[in-house]
Amino acid sequence: MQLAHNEGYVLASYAITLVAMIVIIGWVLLDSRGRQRELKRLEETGIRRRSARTAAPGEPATEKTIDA
Amino acid sequence: MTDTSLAIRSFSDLANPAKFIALAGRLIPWMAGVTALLFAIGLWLSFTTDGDYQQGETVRIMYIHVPAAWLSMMCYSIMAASAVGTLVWRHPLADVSARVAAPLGAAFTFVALVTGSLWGKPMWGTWWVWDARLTSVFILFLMYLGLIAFNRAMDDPSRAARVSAVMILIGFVNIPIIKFSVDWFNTLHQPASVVRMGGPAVDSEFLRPLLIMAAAFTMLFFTLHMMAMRTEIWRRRVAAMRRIAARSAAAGQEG
Repeated sequence: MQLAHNEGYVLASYAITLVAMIVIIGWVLLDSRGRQRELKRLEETGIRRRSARTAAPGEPATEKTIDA
Repeated sequence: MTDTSLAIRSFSDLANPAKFIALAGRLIPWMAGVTALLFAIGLWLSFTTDGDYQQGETVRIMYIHVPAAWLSMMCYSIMAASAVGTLVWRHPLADVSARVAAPLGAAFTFVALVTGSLWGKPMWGTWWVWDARLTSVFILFLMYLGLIAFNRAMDDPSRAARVSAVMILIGFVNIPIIKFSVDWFNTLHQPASVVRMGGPAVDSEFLRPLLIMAAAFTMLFFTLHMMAMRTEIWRRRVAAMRRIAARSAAAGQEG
C-alpha cells in the first residue's frame, strides 16, 4: 500500500533525527561533566589559575582572557 | 562569591568568561525547559495536523527537514559573526562561540540532508541529485567537518582561532548560494515557500507546526551552544591549570 510505504519514510526521518539529537545532546552533556570533574580534581590538588590567585579572598576570578 | 560581582550590566560584560559562566548557569535550565515544551507542542502538532492532499503523510517530514535546514545556515551565520568578533574585536568568547558551533551545525546539516533524501525518494523518485541546492548544502556539511578537523588538529586555540575565523568568513559565500540556489539554478528542490516576498505560500495547517518546530530547534541550538561554550571555557581553564602545574613541577625540580 502506497500510504503505508510513505509512512516508513516519515518514521525513518523522525527516528534518524531523534538519534542525531540524542548523540549531540549526549556529547555536549558528557563533555560538560568531564571538564567539570577535571577542574574539580585540579582545584583539589591546590592548583589555581593566575587570575584566581590574584582575586581577593571570597571574590570570583574575573579574568579578561579565557586561558589565563 | 557575591552575586553583584557576576552581574551582567552591559553587553560587553559578557566578554568576561567568569560572568558568562554565571549567566549560562542561570539561563541553561530555563532554556532547556522552553526547548522541551516547544518540542512537545511541535511534535504533537506535527502528528495531529492533516496530511497534504498531494504529498500525503510525507508532508510531516517538512516539520523536521525545514527547521534543520534553517538551523544549518543560521549556525554558520553565527560562526561568521563570531569570526568577525575574533578578527576585529578580539572578543575572548567569539572564538569559543565559533569553535563549539561547528559540531552543532554539522549535526543539523546532517539531519537536513538525510531527511531531505528521505523526502525526495517518495516525492521526486530519487534519493539524491547533484543539483545546486543539494550540492551546496552537502558542501556546507563538508565545511563543518573541515572546521572541526582543523580545530582538533591545532594545539593552540588562540592560533587556531584566527586561521579558523578566516576560513569561516571565506566559506560564508556558500550561505547566499544555498539560499538563492533555487532561484538562480534549475533544481528539483522547490523555491522558498515560507520566507518569501508576498508572505508564506504554505497553508496555516502546515505553517503552525512548522514554525513551532523551527522555534524548538532554534532553542535547542542556543541551549546546546551556551552549554558547549561554557564547557570550552572550562576546557581552556583545565589546560591553563595543567600548564601551571607543569611549570611548578619543573621549577621544583630545578630548585
